[in-house]
Amino acid sequence: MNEVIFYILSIFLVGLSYQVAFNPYPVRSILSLIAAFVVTSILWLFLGAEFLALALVFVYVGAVMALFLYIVFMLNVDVLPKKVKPSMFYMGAIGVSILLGSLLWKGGQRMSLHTLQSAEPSNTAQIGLALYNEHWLAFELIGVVLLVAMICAVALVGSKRGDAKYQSIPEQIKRTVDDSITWMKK
Amino acid sequence: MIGLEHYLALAGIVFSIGMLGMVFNRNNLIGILMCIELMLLAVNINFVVIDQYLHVVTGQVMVFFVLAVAAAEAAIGLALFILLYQRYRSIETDKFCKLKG
Repeated sequence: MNEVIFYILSIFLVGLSYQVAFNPYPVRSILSLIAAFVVTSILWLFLGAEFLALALVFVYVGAVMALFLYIVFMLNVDVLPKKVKPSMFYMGAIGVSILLGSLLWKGGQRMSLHTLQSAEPSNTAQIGLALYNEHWLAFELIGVVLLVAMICAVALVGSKRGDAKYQSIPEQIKRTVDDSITWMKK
Repeated sequence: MIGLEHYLALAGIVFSIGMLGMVFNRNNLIGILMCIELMLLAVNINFVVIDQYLHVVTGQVMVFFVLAVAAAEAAIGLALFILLYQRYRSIETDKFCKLKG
């Protein structure tokens, strides 16, 4: 059963990778990339790397891929309209049901495994121990990298442009009746 | 039990598709960034698989760092795309032939 699910997921992953690389529509590429990440996370769940599987879905799909999607929406990359065939919906439905089925199957299997033998620390505990005991310096430094990246992104895009008009709120608040209305006759 | 080589072959195929995509649609900046993400994903699959077969967690810690660096790269890359789009009204690499220091 494990082998069958592995091969189905592998075929999915390769097909989705092909879509990411060669689909002319950027939004479809990004949606394929999201699906590829979900498939990979299920594969990692089968390998027993639960923490990374969940981190991939929560952090990567939830944050980074959503950022990609918003940027592509904003950039307005012009493509020709194309009719979606109804068979694509059936294919998508079958794919999603296979993914969810394999996810639930593995989840149930691991849950019964953990209730039976819980002598070994869980995957999350092992990663936590390795992260804070052996690789603590790298862990701190990666936080600095993320901070610098955040500051760079804000400084690049959030700085004011010379050719745009902006609202000045302090000046608007400081306005009074006397300096904004000129009486024609008193 | 699925053999190690099957996982490595899968990761190799995904990495190759990402690399080919980067070569073939090099006109599209978003496509290049997505192909880089795909290649990083393939490398991460290798890390996790070899980890599980050697019964260590160092590779998974490495995957954690790779994810963080990829997130930073995506944030800065997309910020640069927005700047380029504001200036050139396009994100095709052909339009950036006049970039000078």
